[in-house]
Amino acid sequence: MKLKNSTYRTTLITGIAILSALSIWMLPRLSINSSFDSYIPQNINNRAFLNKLDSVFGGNEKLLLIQYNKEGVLTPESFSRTKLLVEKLKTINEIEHTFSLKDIIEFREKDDFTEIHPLLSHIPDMPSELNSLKKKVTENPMAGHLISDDFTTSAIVLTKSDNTDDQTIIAEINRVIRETPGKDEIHVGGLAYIRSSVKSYIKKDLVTLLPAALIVMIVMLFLFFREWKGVLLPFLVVLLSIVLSFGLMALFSWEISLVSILLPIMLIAIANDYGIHLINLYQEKSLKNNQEPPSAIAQKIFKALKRPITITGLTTIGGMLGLLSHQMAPAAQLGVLASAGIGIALILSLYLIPVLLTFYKKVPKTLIIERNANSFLSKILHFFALCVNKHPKTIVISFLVIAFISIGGLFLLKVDTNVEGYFTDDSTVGTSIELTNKKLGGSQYISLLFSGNILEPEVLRRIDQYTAQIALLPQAGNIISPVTLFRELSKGLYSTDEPGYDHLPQTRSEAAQYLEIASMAGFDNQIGQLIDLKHENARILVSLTDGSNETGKKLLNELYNIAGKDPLLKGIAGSGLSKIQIADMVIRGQVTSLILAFFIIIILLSIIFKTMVAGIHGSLPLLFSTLLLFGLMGLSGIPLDIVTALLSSVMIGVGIDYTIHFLWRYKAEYASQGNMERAISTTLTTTGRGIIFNALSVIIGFAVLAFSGFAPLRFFGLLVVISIFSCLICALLLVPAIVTLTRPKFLEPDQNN
Amino acid sequence: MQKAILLICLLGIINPVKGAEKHTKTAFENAVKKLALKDVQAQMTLETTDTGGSSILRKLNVSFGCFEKARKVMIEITAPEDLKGTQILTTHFTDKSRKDIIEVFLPSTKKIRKFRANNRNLKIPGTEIPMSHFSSTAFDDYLISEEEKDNFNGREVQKIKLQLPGNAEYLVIYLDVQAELLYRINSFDNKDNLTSNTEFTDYRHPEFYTSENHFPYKVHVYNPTSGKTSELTITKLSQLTQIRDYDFELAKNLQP
Repeated sequence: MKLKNSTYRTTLITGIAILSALSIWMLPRLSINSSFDSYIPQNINNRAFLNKLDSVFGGNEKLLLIQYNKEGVLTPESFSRTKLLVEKLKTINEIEHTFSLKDIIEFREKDDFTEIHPLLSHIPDMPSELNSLKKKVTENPMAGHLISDDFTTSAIVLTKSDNTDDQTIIAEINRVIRETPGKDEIHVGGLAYIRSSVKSYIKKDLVTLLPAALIVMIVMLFLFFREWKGVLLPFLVVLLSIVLSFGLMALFSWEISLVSILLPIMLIAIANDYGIHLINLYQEKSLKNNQEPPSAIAQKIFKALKRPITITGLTTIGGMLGLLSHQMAPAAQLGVLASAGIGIALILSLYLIPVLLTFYKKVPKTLIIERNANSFLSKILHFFALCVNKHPKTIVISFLVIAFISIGGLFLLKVDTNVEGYFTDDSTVGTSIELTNKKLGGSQYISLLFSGNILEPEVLRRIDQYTAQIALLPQAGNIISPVTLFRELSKGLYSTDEPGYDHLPQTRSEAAQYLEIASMAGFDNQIGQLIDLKHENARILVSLTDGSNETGKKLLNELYNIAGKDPLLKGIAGSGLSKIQIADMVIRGQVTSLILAFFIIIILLSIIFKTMVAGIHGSLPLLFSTLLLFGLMGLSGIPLDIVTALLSSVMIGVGIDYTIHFLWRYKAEYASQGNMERAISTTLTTTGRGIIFNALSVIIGFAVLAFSGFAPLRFFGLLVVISIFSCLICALLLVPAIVTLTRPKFLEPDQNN
Repeated sequence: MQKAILLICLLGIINPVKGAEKHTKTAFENAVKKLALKDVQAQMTLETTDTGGSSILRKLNVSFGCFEKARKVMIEITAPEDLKGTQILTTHFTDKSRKDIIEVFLPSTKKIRKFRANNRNLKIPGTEIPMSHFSSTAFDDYLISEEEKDNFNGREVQKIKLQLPGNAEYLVIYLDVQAELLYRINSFDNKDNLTSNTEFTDYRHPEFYTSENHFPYKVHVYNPTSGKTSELTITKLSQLTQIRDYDFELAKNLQP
């Protein structure tokens, strides 16, 4: 390595500067995608079926404006506000259509005429009249998803225009809410609002968490090394790896998603590892020989750490590449970008840090790292060494006991990819989700599609039967069925005393003629949502009472039990089911990425130490940490979701470093000292310090996630902290104890070297 | 002297415009009248297509009768089979104090239902075509203002804006002032968004017409909101030689 060669130094620094400038230039091309459905591949059946439903019935998305007052919303004041809100909302270009309490109609007979009137034109003051109105509202099937049973919550359903940006429409809706004050609480609901909130949270997290993590890292580095080059150099590597990997993201035209938001946090936590080990050894050597120039020390540390750092870097990349097995594109993209970022950090640490160290003329005399045997850290490391040397069996048995308890926890592990769970109940989004689910029967709908002669009385009778059975399911909120439409239409065509009133059509022609009249009266939109133009397809829409996977799965099973055998049923699908498929992908992705990451690491370790035994030894601490992590998640009720699914690969990638650093140094110490106990003590008190610095920087970097607005990110932060801590303890206790008990040959001094 | 010249100039400028506006209004009224057939029966096909490209074809017999106290339009659906025999009768009274009535006969139920036309914006079933389409009084209450000139299929047209008092929604009509023909009616909502586009084409002179009047044999309606289109084509237009009340009643269907 030509550290003193000015051409080499200039070329390296200029090259990195140009690449960084290019990356910064490309950053404005990056865009944020907060859509959840985009995580699902196009060919997955629910998504493909949703596309079919959209093509038959149209796919305009709905938003809800929720009015809540614990005293009740069926009051003159609240209703006036509803009307005013509707009037103003109608002026928003991005809103195509509004549907509110004032649009609910009823058929009346007057002077021999059928009249179609709004059910609510005004709210009476007289309690008896009000009660009578409430009765009418309760009995009207159209009102079901617009007002709650206790009359405390009402909704205005807004149809979003096609190709409308979520942020724009939400901003306009919020403006209308601000301009229309009143006593009732107003909340916005629906997937578009959740998406928009996710986007805002992503932006907020980028603006707050990233600088916070960087500050934490600067503080940590200064506390470790007590000199500015110990802060600046690893920090520079982190910064450059983030910039270059985001540049790569822009180059590939990938979008920032809820998953890829983790990239900078990961790099902050991981990319400084190599710099930390370099600076740690740099200070160790500086202390031993204070007269040696920095360039000479830099040369020495490069030689000493080139192999272990390369190995740890490659194993981390191997762990990250496990993410490629995920079917979810953002997870696989994160695997590529994190691997690239770590690769960049590895190269920069090995080549740029030593070069930059040569610019320092003198090692400061005020270097004040506590490295004496009386420091707290040294005492702990000595204690660990003593435990390992005296009680290796106890240590291994203790870890085995914890592993068995964790296996028990695995059976309790839940998978929940419900987007609604991303927000706490007391957050604005959380409140609107709670009101939508508990008061208005939910906003996530599932469709049962029937294709064939759907106007045949026999088919309508069956659909009627299914509708009645679905209504009894506790997981079903609102049901919008073609048979409800026919029954309502019959009320307009028959008098209350006639047998056809509130009945289904008796012939196919009658059904067709009902629809013809409804179409004439301007109900095309409502019909078009349930029955297609050619009367070949019809659907029942069922909302989920909550967005959890458990509810979704139960309802799906029940729906198949009820209508699964109907020859005309073509499928059951809905945006509410997408998350179940995401959950399945999460489980598959988790298992495959774990297997792939273990496989890559075992192969790498086997190659490095030239024996398969090394691969198995090295992966044991990771196996323990994996069991502990998922066991704890199961025991504490933290679900596996889109973000936490990335844990195992990250943990394996990061955690393997510690084992490698220990084994590498142990082998060298054993070779030089010829005594296992002394080799373990020396390794733990020297490299053990670097491992602790390394792990602490990761733990504190990920701890920043505790301040995220998202529950999954917060859990992710917590779980990474636990898993890295577990890897650290494994490297400092379990691995040395196993080595003491098994005395593996691959750690014996090499006969040829 | 200068004042006199200015006055003459002003008169010269203002009067022709007033004259033009009046001429346009008259041309518009005449064009609308042409759409309202009298004592005529038309056989029509009506094709409706949705956004997905699915379409259905209806066949209609539409009779236009002019009585002493009312103008009536009887629509009878002759195809498809499920809808065959469905009849819709619109009655527009010459006494403006009486509201228009729409009566519907459904053969499957053997029932007649009556609706007040002002109760809902009723459309020809399954289409985007308003029921008022065949009425000569459909635009009576609108305020008319002239807009700029435009071009429709190579012909110069005058665009005129029609708006109901106190209503933000409006119509823009493409009118051939010379020929007194309507070519297009665009409806806009209160946000100036186009809500429907109706085009009248294939103007022909029915052989039984004594005047030089022409009638559009094709009406195309597109609703950009729903994506639906309706294509109404007159396949045959014949004069009703005898106008009988009986023919314009739905109750006859209830007789055994």
